[in-house]
Amino acid sequence: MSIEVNGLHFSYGNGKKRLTILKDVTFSVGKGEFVGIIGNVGCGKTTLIKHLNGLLVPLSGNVTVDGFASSKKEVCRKVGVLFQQPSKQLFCKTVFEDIAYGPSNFGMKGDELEHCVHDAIEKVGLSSDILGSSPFSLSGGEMRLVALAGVLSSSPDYLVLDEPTSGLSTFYKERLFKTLELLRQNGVGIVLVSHHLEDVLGVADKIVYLTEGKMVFEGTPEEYLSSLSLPAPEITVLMRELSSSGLAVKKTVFSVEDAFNEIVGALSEKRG
Amino acid sequence: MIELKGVSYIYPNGNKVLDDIYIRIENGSFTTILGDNGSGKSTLIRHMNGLLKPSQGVVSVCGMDTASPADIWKIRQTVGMVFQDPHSQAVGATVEEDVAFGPENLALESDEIRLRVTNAIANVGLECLEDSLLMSLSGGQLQKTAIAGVLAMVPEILIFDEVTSMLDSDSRSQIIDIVRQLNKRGKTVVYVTHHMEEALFADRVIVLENGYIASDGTPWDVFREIYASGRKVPPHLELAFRLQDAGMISPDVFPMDALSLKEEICPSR
Amino acid sequence: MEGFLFSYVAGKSILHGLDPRVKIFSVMCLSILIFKSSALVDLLVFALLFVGLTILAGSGLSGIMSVRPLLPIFVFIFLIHSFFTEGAALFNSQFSPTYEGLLKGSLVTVRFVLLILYGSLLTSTTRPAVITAGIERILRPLPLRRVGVTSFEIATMMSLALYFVPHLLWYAGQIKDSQLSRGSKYRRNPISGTLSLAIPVLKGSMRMADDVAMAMESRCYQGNFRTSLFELKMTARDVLVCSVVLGVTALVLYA
Ligand SMILES: Nc1ncnc2c1ncn2[C@@H]1O[C@H](COP(=O)(O)OP(=O)(O)OP(=O)(O)O)[C@@H](O)[C@H]1O
Ligand SMILES: Nc1ncnc2c1ncn2[C@@H]1O[C@H](COP(=O)(O)OP(=O)(O)OP(=O)(O)O)[C@@H](O)[C@H]1O
Ligand SMILES: [Mg+2]
Ligand SMILES: [Mg+2]
Repeated sequence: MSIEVNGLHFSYGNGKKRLTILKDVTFSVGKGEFVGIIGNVGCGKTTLIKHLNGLLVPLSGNVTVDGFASSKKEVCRKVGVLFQQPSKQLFCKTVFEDIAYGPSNFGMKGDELEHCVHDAIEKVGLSSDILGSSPFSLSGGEMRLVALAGVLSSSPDYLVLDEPTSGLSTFYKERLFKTLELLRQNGVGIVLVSHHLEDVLGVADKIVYLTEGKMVFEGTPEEYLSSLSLPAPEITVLMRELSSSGLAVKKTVFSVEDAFNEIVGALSEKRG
Repeated sequence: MIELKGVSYIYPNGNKVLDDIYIRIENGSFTTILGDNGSGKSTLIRHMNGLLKPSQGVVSVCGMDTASPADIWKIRQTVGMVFQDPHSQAVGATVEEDVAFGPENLALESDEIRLRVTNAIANVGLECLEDSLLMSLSGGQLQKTAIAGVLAMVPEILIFDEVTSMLDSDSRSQIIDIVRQLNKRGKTVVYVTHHMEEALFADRVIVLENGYIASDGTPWDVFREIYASGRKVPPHLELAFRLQDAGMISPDVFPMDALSLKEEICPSR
Repeated sequence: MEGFLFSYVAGKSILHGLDPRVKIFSVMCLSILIFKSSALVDLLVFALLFVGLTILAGSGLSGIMSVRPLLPIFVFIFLIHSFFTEGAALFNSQFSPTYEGLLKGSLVTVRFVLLILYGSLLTSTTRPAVITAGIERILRPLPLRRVGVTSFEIATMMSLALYFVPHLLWYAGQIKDSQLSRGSKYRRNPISGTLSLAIPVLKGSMRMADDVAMAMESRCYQGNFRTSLFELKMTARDVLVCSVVLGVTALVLYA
């Protein structure tokens, strides 16, 4: 039971202007697995994500979700996708309707639906006062949270999130990661695209790094941090510098907590 | 200089978003605005180029009142603004046309426009995409286009609303470098962000909370205050503060980035 | 977006380098000539000219192939004329194409095809922005202010329309993606399905119009004088082409 991406190739346009975006991408997302996708601007992350629920069809290679081909109707129920542009994926009159759109399509009604919507908005940390207002009178970050609630409300088996943390303040970000952790424990497979290494490294089981549509790295966060050719979080850069100037600290650390302990340990040892 | 005096703003649907705000932004300064989602940052800066008129109070830009229609063009010329959502500020079919839109309105010679457009596009690192259709760009590429569109106008005051939210860390530092350089050359910068690292480079940090100013001061003071209240500050700064609290490094250094923190912990001879 | 009817194909040919005003003027002259010619042989000359110019433009077959979507219309025009023109019937049935009809049908259709082809040659060798700049310059001497608009406003409207249509299509695509991935395929009622895309897109287009207005305003747009990134300068070559086109047209029309 997993999302399997196999030898995926994709290009936009045709004829002379054909632009190959994805080159031979292969990875999988199991139940309860957390996969972080990282890569520079324009490397093809969004394009890749759109293959996971069949919005784009691979030029060659294939994508299957729990054994279904990604073009099958069932797939949109199994895979919930949060897109990159918050303001361009909301379309209902009120926030409530927007969050209820998914579950009501899948046959939820009445009290159950009401309950589900409140539950979703609570999960992302917004107050339920805004349920009655128009999604277009919200701030940018609030729109993203509403869109996120609209994906969570259908309780998909796999969650695919395209830069969900962009434009969120620390408070909502921490909230989001708590929610994701809970979902993951309940067996939801998660794919998260982010430009913030710190976001992904702490929670992911697997990191996929794309450069111009090619997978140049796939492995655990630990492996990622020990590879010197990939962009590293600031704290890791600091630790590498410290270690190369002779302080005995672990180089693959990226959280403040661990870095603090390492440095304190090393310094007290050195100063005696 | 931008001056807000007793500004309150109520949206047509009754949302009261700003509450009696006093801010004075000096010429040549670099101000960052932080705050939770929905705290009113975007609403606040939309007052600074007259897109929104205060429900109460006065906003003036270089002595011109934003509520007076006669000055509005002059104000728009002085204040360039990059909005939060790159998809709702595109006005051209291709990258080049979009970036050229502002300079064209300033009625510059076409050679000058060409020069500025080429420079602005190169500055944000979109050289290969000049002729691409805007709608076929990725989110980050579009965000860079929006930034270039305002850079090409070279206004006196630049306002950026979360313009690096969809960029990778290299592009982010590229943009912040451009902004700092502009500021060094005397431009006034107002910079809204959720990336607190970016606030370190400012002379002044303002924190908004539910439409009022919760803190206002130098990055040092504000981040100390935030740290003391137990909330998140930039990772290397948090590490520095904790090391200071533990007496490991000198208590009055304020490292701008990880490398200067490294010098503190382990000075290279 | 290559291969679309009337889309621009970047290039460096002589045709790309000509002033848009010259190109617009030439297309107008050619259209007049095409309309005036009443023999298929004459039209053959224009067809050959087109082939020559396409080779010159270096855009290959894509210009010709891009009219394919209009094929049903061409067929329709042809059939209408062949059946509804008075004359000698081709078959001995009540409803039959006529000889005259076939002739007229092919004449009208070929004219139409040629007009479209020349139009697409213009747009495939000229950036939309340059075309609007050209039109703006052509309109500028007219006393438009009397009717309350400026040539700049007209040009901006045109370029906005050129940009707005693809933007709107893109937006519709985003909403559709969002609905599809939230299970719109599970809706029972297919009609409400279509409407549930059309209505938000329509509303969204209003918001987009507001957004664009706001973005334009904050980038100093004010409707009267503005310049263009694409400066138009008549070179000797432009003048030469212009006079040749004018001369030939006058010769054909009045000789
Ligand atoms: N519809 C399209 N037509 C043609 N090219 C496209 C289209 N959409 C995207 N591209 C191009 O494909 C490349 C990958 O785009 P994609 O949106 O997947 O990038 P991304 O990794 O998500 O980037 P970002 O981090 O900026 O969102 C980009 O260079 C972009 O210009
Ligand atoms: N057009 C509008 N009509 C009514 N209320 C609005 C409108 N735009 C924003 N608001 C409300 O005003 C408050 C502040 O919005 P604003 O966009 O200024 O927030 P922000 O600080 O920029 O947040 P973010 O970091 O998410 O962009 C929000 O609670 C929002 O719901
Ligand atoms: Mg993307
Ligand atoms: Mg905002």
